Amino acid sequence: MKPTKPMTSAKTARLLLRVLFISLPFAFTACGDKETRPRGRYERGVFIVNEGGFGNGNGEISFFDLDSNKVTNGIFGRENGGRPLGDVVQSMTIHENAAYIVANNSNKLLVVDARTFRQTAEIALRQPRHMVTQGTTGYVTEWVSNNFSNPPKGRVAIINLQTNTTAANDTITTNGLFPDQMVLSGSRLYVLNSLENTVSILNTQTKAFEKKVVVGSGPSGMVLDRNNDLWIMASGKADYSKYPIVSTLEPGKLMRFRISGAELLLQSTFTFPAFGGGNLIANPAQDRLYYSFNGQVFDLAISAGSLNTQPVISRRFYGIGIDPSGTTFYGGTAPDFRSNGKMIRYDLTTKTALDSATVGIAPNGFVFR
Amino acid sequence: MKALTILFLVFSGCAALAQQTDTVPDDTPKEYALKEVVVFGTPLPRYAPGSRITVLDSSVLSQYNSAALSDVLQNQMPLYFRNYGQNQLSSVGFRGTSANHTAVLWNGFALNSPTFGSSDFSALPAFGFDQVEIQHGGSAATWGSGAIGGSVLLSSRPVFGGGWQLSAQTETSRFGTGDFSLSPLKASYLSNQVRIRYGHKNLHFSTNAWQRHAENDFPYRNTTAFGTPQVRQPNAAFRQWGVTQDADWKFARRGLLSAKVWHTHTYRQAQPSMLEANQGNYRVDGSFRAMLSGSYHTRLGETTLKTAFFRDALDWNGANSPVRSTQAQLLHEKVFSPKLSVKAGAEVQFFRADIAGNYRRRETRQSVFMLSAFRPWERLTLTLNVRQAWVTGFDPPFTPHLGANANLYKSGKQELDVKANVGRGYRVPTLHDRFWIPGGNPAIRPETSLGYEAGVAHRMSLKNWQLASEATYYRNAVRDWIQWVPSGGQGIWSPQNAVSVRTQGMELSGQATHTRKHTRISLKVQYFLNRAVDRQPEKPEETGRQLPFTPLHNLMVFAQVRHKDWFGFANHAFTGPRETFGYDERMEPYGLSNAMVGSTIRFRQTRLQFLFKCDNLLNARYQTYGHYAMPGRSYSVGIRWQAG
Repeated sequence: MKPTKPMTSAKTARLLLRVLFISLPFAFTACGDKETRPRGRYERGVFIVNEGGFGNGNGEISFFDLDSNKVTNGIFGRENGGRPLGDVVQSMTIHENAAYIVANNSNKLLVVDARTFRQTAEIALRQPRHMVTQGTTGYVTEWVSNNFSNPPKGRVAIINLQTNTTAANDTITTNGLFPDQMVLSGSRLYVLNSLENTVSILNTQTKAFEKKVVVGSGPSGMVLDRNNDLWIMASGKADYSKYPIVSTLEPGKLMRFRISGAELLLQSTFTFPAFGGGNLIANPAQDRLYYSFNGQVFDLAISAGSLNTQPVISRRFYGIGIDPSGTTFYGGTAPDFRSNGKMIRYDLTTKTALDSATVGIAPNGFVFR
Repeated sequence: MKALTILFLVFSGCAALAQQTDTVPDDTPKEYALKEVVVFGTPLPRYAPGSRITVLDSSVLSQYNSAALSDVLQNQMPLYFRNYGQNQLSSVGFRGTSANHTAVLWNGFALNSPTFGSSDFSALPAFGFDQVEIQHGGSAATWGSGAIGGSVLLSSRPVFGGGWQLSAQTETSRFGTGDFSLSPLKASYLSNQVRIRYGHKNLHFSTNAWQRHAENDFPYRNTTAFGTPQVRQPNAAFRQWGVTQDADWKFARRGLLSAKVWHTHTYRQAQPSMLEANQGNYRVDGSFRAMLSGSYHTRLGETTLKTAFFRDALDWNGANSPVRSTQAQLLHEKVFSPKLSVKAGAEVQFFRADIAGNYRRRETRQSVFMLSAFRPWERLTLTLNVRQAWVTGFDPPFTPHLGANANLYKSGKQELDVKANVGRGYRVPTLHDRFWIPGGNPAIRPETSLGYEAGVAHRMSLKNWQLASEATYYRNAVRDWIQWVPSGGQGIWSPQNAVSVRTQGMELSGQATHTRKHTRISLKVQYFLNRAVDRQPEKPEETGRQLPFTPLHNLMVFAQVRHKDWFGFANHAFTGPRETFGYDERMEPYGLSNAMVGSTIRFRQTRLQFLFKCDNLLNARYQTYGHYAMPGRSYSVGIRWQAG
């Protein structure tokens, strides 16, 4: 018996080892399961939407990780086998754990898992621009065609966010040209017609166009403030024929409208000294607006009686954003549409630059998560 | 879709593959033997010693009768063409420069668009002229604005005597996969050419007419789309027809009068990239070119007066933008002795652009130049070329060019030459650069360059072998390189003299030819290394990067065989990785191979040739610019008939 004992123990040890080896993967799986899902790379940070150059198909998304303070460029390609994202990446909208990316000149809306950035679906649209969501429905503006000389009437496509599909006829006409940004308030969708001087009001319940309101030439931005008033920016008109002398035909302006059912009631108008104005956004508290004018960034309290003459930041940005805490300003610079841009962060209280990083081509917006 | 093994029928010009007519003289049709008859104008090498020159004569060109000039050049040399798809806009930059730095001339007149600054090599047919000479490197003193990276010279030369000569050819192609169809109407590619030539003692007429038609609905895997589906290319059709007419008259034994007309009409749907929505755009390019030239020999030398009128109309989706150019040149050449010859000239160019919905402008450019070749010793040739141009509103700099060729060693069997040259170059900004609304910058300066090169060339003949090799090192600095960037208070796109680009690299080539009775085998290897980096004071992070879509490495192996009435070639081109705009993407290297085999049947005075060709033999998936899909393997069949 004695000699058998060590043998037995050796056998047992081997058996145990074998069991351990076999169960090892299960053990790890169990652990993983306990920690809920595998943590994605893109959990906490800022997505930078890089538009890319028209026709070059080099739009991409960069990710600024708030834990490591590092930017990773080209995350779509990185997570999808090197596949390019699309041509003219216009905007990105996060709904629950899905990110919807509009590739305007690729005629598509890409759906990716916002945590891993792996693509899960693709929805064919026609010259899509921007998206807003409400419940399980998404609304996407479509130019339908980018033919400037003979533009068709634009429309809003209705997306089922559960199936990530759209029915062929599930659209609402905007009755306007080149519909762009939207604001959703209750059952009404306000759509900027960027090639006109109007805003279209659509009813999301009846899925019908209701009316068009004239807001001024070159409408370029629209936000809702904390009082549920609608702010609309129009850039006006200019004459470039004597460039480099650019003369203003109609100055840019910022208007505040009160929403009253299917009506927009003009409350106040702030006129800029010249043509221009863009990048209109509101801070997270929705009590202060930020916008670009003449290569500078200005702010405007929603209660203010006149425009600020001193800029917040004296720099030209292609896209701007404000983080959810409302203390950090993000600016994207685009030297041109061929080379990489920069993301520059500013402290909004001291108005000084914090840091900067190289991002993709033509950063036009920031999505916070 | 079913895999389709294709078939192609029709004629294509595959003529004798022999490049050197002397080695296989019995097969050489008359049209290839032009050099023996008369030389029209000055041969390029006289005022270009010290430069690397590639000559594609009619024996090479006739293999590509059904193709575009871009096809010929990229089949013969490791050049990188930026193609916006199959048969779409195609441009080339030599030695790391851009399309605007490649001067293209037709019988001595600048062809580059005054509005865009470049030439579209896929709209230029390979049919309709007799010779293409490529001068690598800068030669602005000789060829004027834009000759910074290289020059491509197209010329047609009269043949006096020989009587009538007729040839007709047809060729059709199919892509490697897709729907199988025998109907010529459903051909992916169909091209037809006719040539009529008459040469009398003092007269020469030549008419060329052609038509090319490509559906370009080729199948490809869309590697950019979700699920990488197999799709067919939409909206990429190409239709071209054209005609050239040459008439030459030798008079009084000392004079030559020539008239040439060349019209090309090209309809192209605008191929969307793999990532782009198909907008159904199209463009039509109508190019009418006519020239008249007269030259007369006296004791004082040869005087030539040439005038030309071009009308290039670009119609984009129905909006027509014609550009008219009227040019005149007065040249005088005097060969003082075998040791010294001088050619002096003056040139006037008048441009009128009428851009739909934009601007309407005129511009006049003048220049005077002098080219001289001096041979102090038998073995040393020197050249000094100078040019001064004047342009409405601003003047390019004085442009000198100095070149030398020294024959270091010469024996019965081999020869060794050393070449070197140094020269300045310039490029006048385009009319768009100056007048486009908005953004056109009237204050823009011309680009200037300073480049030099040095090389060694070796030739050797051994029994049945002919060996030739050449190595060239070059360096070039282009200053005030024009780029459109957002500027001014409104961020309007406007051209600026924003960048300095340094290029340097080398060109290595070696050729071995074995000739034996009825057989001739030739192998050519060429390697081009082009480093091109920019220096942008305002964008330091871009400094030192290789320019986008400019491969560092370009290699081509070309093999050619001829045996009795059979002939064939095969080539393989390797293109290294390429940078794109931004840092997120890099284009992978690729290899592209083509092969052709053909046979000639003779009957009295007529010859019939059959040819079978395969393009993109290895079915490589590649793009040369952006994400524009290029077709996979395709097969063609051609027949050519020739009489006289």
